[in-house]
Amino acid sequence: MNCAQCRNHFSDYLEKAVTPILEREMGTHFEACQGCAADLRELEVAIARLRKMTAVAAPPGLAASVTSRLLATPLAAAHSEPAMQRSGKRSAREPARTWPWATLAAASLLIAAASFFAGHIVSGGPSVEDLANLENARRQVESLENQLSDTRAKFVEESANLRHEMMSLTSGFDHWKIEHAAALEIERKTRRDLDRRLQETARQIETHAESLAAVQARLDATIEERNSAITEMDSLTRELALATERRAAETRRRLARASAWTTTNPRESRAVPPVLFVRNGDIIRLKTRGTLDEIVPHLFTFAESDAEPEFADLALTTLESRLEPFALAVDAEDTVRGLSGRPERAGIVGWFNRRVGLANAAYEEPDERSTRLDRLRRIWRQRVPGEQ
Amino acid sequence: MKMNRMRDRGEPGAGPGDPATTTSLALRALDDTDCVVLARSGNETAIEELVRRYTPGVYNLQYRLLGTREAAEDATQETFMRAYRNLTRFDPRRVFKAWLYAIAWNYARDELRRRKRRSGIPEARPAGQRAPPTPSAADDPCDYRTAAPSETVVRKEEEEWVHRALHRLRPQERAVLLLREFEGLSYEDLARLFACRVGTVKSRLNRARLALKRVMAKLRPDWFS
Repeated sequence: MNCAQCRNHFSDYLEKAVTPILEREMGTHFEACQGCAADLRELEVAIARLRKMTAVAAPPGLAASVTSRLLATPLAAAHSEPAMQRSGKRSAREPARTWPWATLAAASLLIAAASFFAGHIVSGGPSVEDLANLENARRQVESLENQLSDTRAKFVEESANLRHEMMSLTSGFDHWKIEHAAALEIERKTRRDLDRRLQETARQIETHAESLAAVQARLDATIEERNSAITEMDSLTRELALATERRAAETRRRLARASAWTTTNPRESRAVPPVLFVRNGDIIRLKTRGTLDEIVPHLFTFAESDAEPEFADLALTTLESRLEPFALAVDAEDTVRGLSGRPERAGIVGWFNRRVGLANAAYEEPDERSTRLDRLRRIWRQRVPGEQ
Repeated sequence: MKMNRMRDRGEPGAGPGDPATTTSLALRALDDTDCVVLARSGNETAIEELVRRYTPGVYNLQYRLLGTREAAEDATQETFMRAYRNLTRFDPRRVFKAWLYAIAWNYARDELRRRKRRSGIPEARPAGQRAPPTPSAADDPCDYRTAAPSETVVRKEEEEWVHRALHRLRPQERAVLLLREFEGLSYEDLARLFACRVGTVKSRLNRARLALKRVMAKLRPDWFS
């Protein structure tokens, strides 16, 4: 590639509109030719300077002036002016263009007639035959002129029809274009309207979504609160059930006590029982009424009962205090037996006690309560009935 | 980039806040072809819209081609009048902008020829315009060697130099440069405008750019140093 060929593609090279092959060739040339490379750089500078140039502002009223001038000229006149000029020129040229052979024929006939007259003027005057020929020629010319005028009239009429048809087609096309433009405008307006509504709807949806999210958050919090409340209520229910059960047990126990109390309550029973347990808070007292024979069986009943340990202890203590005076005989009997007043045991324990004595009795310490009861029963059995 | 330049010049795509415009927003949304159809049917607003869109561009082109504001104003008026008269001949398949600029270029070319016939010189120097400063014009306030003004003044002065360099080119070179660089016409539109092939347009544009570079290098060698 030489310098001239390279310069021919400077613009394309700067606009990056050259083929890759040409670009490579030009790059190679620029490496080899410092002049072209410098020219290219200068061209870049010049184009940049040109592109930096701002446009000259039009005078403020120029657009309005142009518009008013255009609008002052009727559109029909503006359009018809060249059309009229065209039609005028055509009317002058139409016969020559449309019927050139007719004009040529008329001209040749006229030239022939003129030469004929000229020849005869020179030769001394026309003959009768010449005059007849001349008349025939004149008639032919007239006939041709008539044909020409008819043809011209037909042409004018046809051209008028064609022009009218063309104008109607043009106006129809223009009307269609106007309708098309109006439809386009309506479509654009509708599209803009729809876009605007869509944006509003999107904004509303966004707002509602935010409200919904807030409501959902509140709902979640409420559900969590409800779940914790349910859990708490379950635990409370369990505690309540336990408390109720405890209360019921206490009530049952109190009812049991109350039944015992009721059976021994002198206020609610006409027959005053011989043994009364009177509870005043934590203090229980025992009241007896009647003889010892009436009292002791009741006391034994309470002492042997496991339902009311407090009553049983009190009854046992009362029995011991009441039966102590009769214990001498039983203790003496025990002494005789060598059991130091301990009750005789049955079975292997009694046999062992009897054989080895009291030394080993400590290993089989009997229940104190049952022992005391056995001793008291024995005292009560061995006493003299009626003895107080 | 090109659209920005066009918007700066107030051409199609100018903002709706332009106080000089009275056309409706609906018309501004229509493209040129639809506006032309409406204008042909007698819609005055469409005519006004077309004039509003293209007055700045046509005026700028005529000013760059003819050199004076008065001539540019007359040429703009005449361009629009010719376009208005021939509006029915406009083929809607063509680009209206290219068609309008073709009318503008034809008028400017005829005007330049008339000037040449009248004065015998290629182009009259623009009235009220100073001659390009010579190296001896040390007292010229526009002399780039003596002036030290603000940035705006420097920029205006540089633009003035570019304008002068443009006026050293032949009219057709100037036209192809302006229509390509400023009005953004495609090679196809330029080929139809100058009645030649696309390849010829490219060659002319390349020659015009090289010629502008040469003239600029003569006028302002410091730009290329």
